[in-house]
Amino acid sequence: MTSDDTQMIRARQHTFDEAALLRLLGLAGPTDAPELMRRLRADLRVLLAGLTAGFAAEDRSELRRHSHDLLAIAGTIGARHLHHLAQVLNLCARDDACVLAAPDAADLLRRLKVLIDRLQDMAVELGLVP
Amino acid sequence: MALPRAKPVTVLLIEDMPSLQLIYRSVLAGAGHDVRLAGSAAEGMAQFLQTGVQVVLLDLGLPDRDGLDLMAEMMAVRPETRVIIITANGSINKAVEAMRAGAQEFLVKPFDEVRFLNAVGNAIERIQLRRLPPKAAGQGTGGFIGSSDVMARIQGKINSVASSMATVFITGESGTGKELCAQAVHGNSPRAKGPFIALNCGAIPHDLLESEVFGHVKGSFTGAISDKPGAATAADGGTLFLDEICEMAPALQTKLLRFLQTSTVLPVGATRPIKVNVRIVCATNRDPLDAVRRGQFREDLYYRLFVVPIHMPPLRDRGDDVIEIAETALIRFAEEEGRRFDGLTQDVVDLFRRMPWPGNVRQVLNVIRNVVVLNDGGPVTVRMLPEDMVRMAESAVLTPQPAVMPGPELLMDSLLGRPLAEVERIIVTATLARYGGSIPKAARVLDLSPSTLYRKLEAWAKDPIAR
Repeated sequence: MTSDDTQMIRARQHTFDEAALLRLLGLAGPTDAPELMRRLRADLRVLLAGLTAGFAAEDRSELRRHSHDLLAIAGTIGARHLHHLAQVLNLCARDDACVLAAPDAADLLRRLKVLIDRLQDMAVELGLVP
Repeated sequence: MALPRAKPVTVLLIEDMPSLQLIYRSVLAGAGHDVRLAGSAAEGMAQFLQTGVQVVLLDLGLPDRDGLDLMAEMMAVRPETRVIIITANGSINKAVEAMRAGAQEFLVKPFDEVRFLNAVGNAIERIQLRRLPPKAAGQGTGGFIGSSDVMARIQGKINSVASSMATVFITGESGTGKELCAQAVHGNSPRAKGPFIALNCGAIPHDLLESEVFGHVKGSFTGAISDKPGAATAADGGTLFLDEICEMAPALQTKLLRFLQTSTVLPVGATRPIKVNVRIVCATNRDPLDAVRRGQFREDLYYRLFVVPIHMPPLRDRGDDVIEIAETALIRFAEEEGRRFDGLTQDVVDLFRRMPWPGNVRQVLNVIRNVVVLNDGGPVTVRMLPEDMVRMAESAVLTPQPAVMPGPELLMDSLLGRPLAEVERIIVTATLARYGGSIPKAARVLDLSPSTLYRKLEAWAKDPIAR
């Protein structure tokens, strides 16, 4: 097992609290639940692309903007660890004298990819793929 | 059972993330609100101008414009607009700035369904209560409508207590007029010319509440870029109203107790206390003694605050006040909408008298607004009322006859062998009966949100099963 494999397993273990998302799907109802899953995946893919570019360019404005949105979505669907990472990134992107350790970019992006994959799997499992 | 599908005030949601838009819309629609959506500031402003909405949920982080600028423009157009700010953790200072600029409340992402719906409900209530005519039949000096004996006693108590400095502790279900009562205490007191500062302890994040109550000095924490007086200082010479006091974090309860004992405030980061002259009124829709027993509220603080209790009765205990409130609201709302209604028919009066009104006065106002908006005029008939409300009044779901409770062995025997859905219904119905039909109390005990409980009751009302 490679170091990457170990990191992926670790990321999957802490993906998110599926009960929170199931509750939201219940609120959306059968008509809107497939659309909600689609929008969640689409929004998170946009954020993945934005954060990847932001980290590469060390663009704090981009990192602040995308981490703001990521912490909202991650927190809402119960992805607590990812929410925490996004929160820390957002604070650091705002503060020149950030004394908190900025989250590891690779770890954050890896967890985000795992979340997107898990949402895709859930959509299939729940029959919510239009 | 869901709240009646009254659409008294359309809610405009301005949020640019499509997934969050859908989540918020689902929650609001599930609670019976009509929702307009906008994904940008420009779109939001256009909708605001076209629709005349008065409740706006505004995400501060919009792509095309600063949320505070947008809020300022909206409030310049319609000052009575209730703007609820939604912000992420890094924007707390902006949210505080928004509150000072007149925002109704702010909610911190990620989303909390109960707080979200409470914030919207509070905004609608404030709009509707402000619209009621200042003088109406049976209206006391407190701004309450209703000539029932129980409200006359409340009015008498307010008149007696207003002139003293004693702390007033107001309890009562949601929608019973606790803030109105607090305002009446202030308005009838020698402090009436002084400030009345209201803080909702349940709506403000715990880590911000101390600064909100006591203020802070520049540099006391990251983001404290200037000195800020707290609500206690702002209320100097007047009244400080602490709503949802039982939601206050334990650490802050300790500081509040010190404030009550010494009449001094110590802003966050300050070294010298400031003397203030403030009268405290607080309120909760929970049972404060229960919060003490659960260790969520300090006992010494409870006794310090619980000097003059005033319990706002639920509407179902106020006799024909519901009719007076409905008729008064009908006159006022009809005038606003340019329509003419000829009062309530006897069938409607009888139905209103049967209704348990779990949402209390706020619910009545929602229903009447719904009637006025969706009908042209004439006498108000049962057909004009929301269907689920009529079903609620005609069924016994919310006011079940309390059964003689069997012992534990008999209870278990009576539940075994039944489908799970039926067991759930039996337990929920019995819990409601125990708490006098109070949905908020039953929901708390069952560890459900009130909206979930309303939905279950509504579904059961449509599909009654043999008991």
